[in-house]
Amino acid sequence: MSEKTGGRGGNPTKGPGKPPPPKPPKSPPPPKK
Amino acid sequence: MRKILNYKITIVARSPKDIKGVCNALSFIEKNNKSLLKKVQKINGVLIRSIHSYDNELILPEKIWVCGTGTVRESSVSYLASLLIHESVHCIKYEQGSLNKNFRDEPVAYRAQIMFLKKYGEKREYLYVTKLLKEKYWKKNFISISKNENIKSTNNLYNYYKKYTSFFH
Repeated sequence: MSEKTGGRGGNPTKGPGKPPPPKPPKSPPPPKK
Repeated sequence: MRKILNYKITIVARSPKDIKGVCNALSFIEKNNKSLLKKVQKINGVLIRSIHSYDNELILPEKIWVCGTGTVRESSVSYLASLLIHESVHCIKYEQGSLNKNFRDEPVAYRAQIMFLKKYGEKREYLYVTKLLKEKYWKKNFISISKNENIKSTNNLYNYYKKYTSFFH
Protein backbone atom coordinates (compact mmCIF):
# COMPACT_ATOMS: atom_id res chain seq x y z
CA MET A 1 0.00 0.00 0.00
CA SER A 2 1.36 3.42 -0.81
CA GLU A 3 2.66 5.49 2.04
CA LYS A 4 0.48 8.41 0.95
CA THR A 5 -2.92 6.79 1.18
CA GLY A 6 -3.97 3.67 3.01
CA GLY A 7 -0.44 3.02 4.22
CA ARG A 8 -0.18 6.26 6.17
CA GLY A 9 -1.58 4.42 9.15
CA GLY A 10 -5.23 4.79 8.34
CA ASN A 11 -7.69 3.50 5.81
CA PRO A 12 -8.11 4.69 2.23
CA THR A 13 -10.82 7.29 1.71
CA LYS A 14 -12.90 5.91 -1.12
CA GLY A 15 -16.19 7.73 -1.66
CA PRO A 16 -19.30 6.14 -3.18
CA GLY A 17 -18.09 6.84 -6.72
CA LYS A 18 -20.83 4.85 -8.40
CA PRO A 19 -23.91 7.06 -8.68
CA PRO A 20 -27.42 5.66 -8.21
CA PRO A 21 -28.98 4.25 -11.35
CA PRO A 22 -30.85 6.82 -13.43
CA LYS A 23 -34.60 7.14 -13.21
CA PRO A 24 -36.35 4.65 -15.49
CA PRO A 25 -37.89 6.40 -18.50
CA LYS A 26 -41.61 7.04 -18.23
CA SER A 27 -43.61 4.60 -20.28
CA PRO A 28 -45.64 6.32 -22.99
CA PRO A 29 -49.39 6.64 -22.32
CA PRO A 30 -51.53 3.99 -23.98
CA PRO A 31 -52.83 5.04 -27.40
CA LYS A 32 -56.29 6.58 -27.39
CA LYS A 33 -58.98 4.46 -28.89
CA MET B 1 -3.90 16.19 -20.51
CA ARG B 2 -5.69 19.48 -19.89
CA LYS B 3 -5.60 21.53 -16.75
CA ILE B 4 -7.74 24.37 -15.50
CA LEU B 5 -8.05 26.24 -12.24
CA ASN B 6 -11.63 26.65 -11.12
CA TYR B 7 -12.64 28.09 -7.73
CA LYS B 8 -8.95 27.67 -6.70
CA ILE B 9 -9.17 23.92 -7.41
CA THR B 10 -6.91 22.43 -10.11
CA ILE B 11 -8.83 20.09 -12.40
CA VAL B 12 -6.86 17.78 -14.69
CA ALA B 13 -8.35 15.43 -17.30
CA ARG B 14 -7.86 14.32 -20.87
CA SER B 15 -11.34 15.31 -21.96
CA PRO B 16 -12.70 18.88 -21.67
CA LYS B 17 -16.13 17.30 -21.11
CA ASP B 18 -14.90 15.76 -17.84
CA ILE B 19 -13.35 19.04 -16.70
CA LYS B 20 -16.64 20.77 -17.44
CA GLY B 21 -18.48 18.16 -15.36
CA VAL B 22 -16.43 19.02 -12.28
CA CYS B 23 -16.72 22.78 -12.99
CA ASN B 24 -20.50 22.43 -13.18
CA ALA B 25 -20.54 20.62 -9.84
CA LEU B 26 -18.47 23.41 -8.24
CA SER B 27 -20.77 26.08 -9.71
CA PHE B 28 -23.73 24.14 -8.35
CA ILE B 29 -22.24 24.23 -4.83
CA GLU B 30 -21.44 27.94 -5.13
CA LYS B 31 -24.92 28.75 -6.37
CA ASN B 32 -26.59 26.89 -3.52
CA ASN B 33 -24.29 27.33 -0.55
CA LYS B 34 -21.21 29.56 -0.60
CA SER B 35 -19.99 28.44 2.83
CA LEU B 36 -19.91 24.83 1.62
CA LEU B 37 -17.82 25.92 -1.35
CA LYS B 38 -15.20 27.21 1.08
CA LYS B 39 -15.03 23.76 2.64
CA VAL B 40 -14.78 22.10 -0.76
CA GLN B 41 -11.85 24.40 -1.53
CA LYS B 42 -9.89 22.35 0.99
CA ILE B 43 -9.51 19.95 -1.94
CA ASN B 44 -6.48 21.11 -3.89
CA GLY B 45 -7.17 19.23 -7.07
CA VAL B 46 -9.26 16.72 -8.99
CA LEU B 47 -7.57 14.28 -11.36
CA ILE B 48 -9.82 12.31 -13.69
CA ARG B 49 -8.38 9.07 -15.03
CA SER B 50 -9.05 8.29 -18.66
CA ILE B 51 -10.72 4.99 -17.87
CA HIS B 52 -14.31 4.13 -17.17
CA SER B 53 -14.19 3.44 -13.46
CA TYR B 54 -15.95 4.31 -10.25
CA ASP B 55 -12.84 3.69 -8.16
CA ASN B 56 -11.68 6.83 -6.43
CA GLU B 57 -9.46 7.95 -3.60
CA LEU B 58 -8.32 11.10 -1.90
CA ILE B 59 -4.53 11.35 -2.04
CA LEU B 60 -3.19 12.75 1.21
CA PRO B 61 -1.52 14.95 2.33
CA GLU B 62 -1.75 16.52 -1.15
CA LYS B 63 -5.57 16.57 -1.03
CA ILE B 64 -5.98 15.51 -4.64
CA TRP B 65 -9.09 13.51 -5.43
CA VAL B 66 -8.44 10.90 -8.13
CA CYS B 67 -11.50 9.43 -9.81
CA GLY B 68 -12.59 7.82 -13.09
CA THR B 69 -14.75 8.88 -16.00
CA GLY B 70 -17.54 6.54 -14.84
CA THR B 71 -18.10 8.71 -11.79
CA VAL B 72 -17.84 12.05 -13.58
CA ARG B 73 -19.92 11.19 -16.64
CA GLU B 74 -22.66 9.18 -14.98
CA SER B 75 -23.24 11.38 -11.95
CA SER B 76 -25.80 14.15 -11.99
CA VAL B 77 -24.45 17.61 -11.20
CA SER B 78 -25.86 17.36 -7.67
CA TYR B 79 -24.43 13.86 -7.07
CA LEU B 80 -20.94 14.85 -8.25
CA ALA B 81 -21.18 17.96 -6.07
CA SER B 82 -22.11 15.74 -3.10
CA LEU B 83 -19.02 13.59 -3.69
CA LEU B 84 -16.87 16.73 -3.50
CA ILE B 85 -18.59 17.59 -0.20
CA HIS B 86 -17.80 14.05 1.02
CA GLU B 87 -14.10 14.39 0.13
CA SER B 88 -13.86 17.86 1.65
CA VAL B 89 -14.87 16.34 5.00
CA HIS B 90 -11.91 13.95 4.73
CA CYS B 91 -9.61 16.92 3.99
CA ILE B 92 -10.88 18.75 7.07
CA LYS B 93 -10.58 15.64 9.24
CA TYR B 94 -7.03 15.09 7.97
CA GLU B 95 -6.13 18.68 8.87
CA GLN B 96 -7.46 17.94 12.34
CA GLY B 97 -5.05 15.02 12.58
CA SER B 98 -7.34 12.12 11.71
CA LEU B 99 -6.00 9.27 9.57
CA ASN B 100 -9.42 7.66 9.01
CA LYS B 101 -8.34 4.70 11.14
CA ASN B 102 -10.97 1.96 11.10
CA PHE B 103 -12.89 4.19 8.67
CA ARG B 104 -13.92 6.36 11.61
CA ASP B 105 -14.36 9.45 9.39
CA GLU B 106 -16.68 7.77 6.91
CA PRO B 107 -19.98 8.26 8.81
CA VAL B 108 -19.41 12.01 9.13
CA ALA B 109 -18.41 12.28 5.45
CA TYR B 110 -21.52 10.32 4.41
CA ARG B 111 -23.75 12.44 6.65
CA ALA B 112 -22.44 15.66 5.13
CA GLN B 113 -23.08 14.21 1.67
CA ILE B 114 -26.60 13.14 2.67
CA MET B 115 -27.42 16.56 4.15
CA PHE B 116 -26.30 18.18 0.92
CA LEU B 117 -28.37 15.82 -1.24
CA LYS B 118 -31.40 16.22 1.00
CA LYS B 119 -31.28 19.98 0.47
CA TYR B 120 -30.08 20.30 -3.11
CA GLY B 121 -30.13 16.87 -4.76
CA GLU B 122 -32.71 14.44 -6.05
CA LYS B 123 -34.67 12.30 -3.62
CA ARG B 124 -33.40 9.05 -5.11
CA GLU B 125 -29.79 10.23 -4.63
CA TYR B 126 -30.45 11.15 -1.03
CA LEU B 127 -32.09 7.78 -0.37
CA TYR B 128 -29.26 5.94 -2.13
CA VAL B 129 -26.48 7.47 0.00
CA THR B 130 -28.61 7.09 3.15
CA LYS B 131 -28.83 3.37 2.36
CA LEU B 132 -25.05 3.16 1.83
CA LEU B 133 -24.46 4.79 5.22
CA LYS B 134 -26.92 2.46 6.91
CA GLU B 135 -25.21 -0.64 5.51
CA LYS B 136 -21.72 0.82 6.18
CA TYR B 137 -20.89 0.57 2.50
CA TRP B 138 -17.20 1.42 3.05
CA LYS B 139 -16.70 -1.67 5.21
CA LYS B 140 -18.71 -3.88 2.91
CA ASN B 141 -16.80 -2.61 -0.10
CA PHE B 142 -13.47 -3.01 1.67
CA ILE B 143 -14.15 -6.51 2.94
CA SER B 144 -15.85 -7.82 -0.20
CA ILE B 145 -12.70 -7.38 -2.28
CA SER B 146 -9.44 -9.02 -1.25
CA LYS B 147 -6.67 -7.19 0.55
CA ASN B 148 -4.50 -7.56 -2.55
CA GLU B 149 -7.15 -5.91 -4.70
CA ASN B 150 -7.43 -3.06 -2.25
CA ILE B 151 -3.68 -2.52 -2.33
CA LYS B 152 -3.75 -2.74 -6.13
CA SER B 153 -6.56 -0.19 -6.36
CA THR B 154 -4.84 2.25 -3.99
CA ASN B 155 -1.52 1.86 -5.79
CA ASN B 156 -3.16 2.30 -9.23
CA LEU B 157 -4.77 5.56 -8.14
CA TYR B 158 -1.62 6.78 -6.43
CA ASN B 159 0.62 5.84 -9.38
CA TYR B 160 -1.74 7.68 -11.72
CA TYR B 161 -1.46 10.74 -9.51
CA LYS B 162 2.35 10.43 -9.46
CA LYS B 163 2.33 10.39 -13.27
CA TYR B 164 0.55 13.76 -13.38
CA THR B 165 1.81 15.28 -10.15
CA SER B 166 3.53 18.17 -12.02
CA PHE B 167 0.08 19.43 -13.07
CA PHE B 168 -0.67 20.24 -9.46
CA HIS B 169 2.34 22.44 -8.74
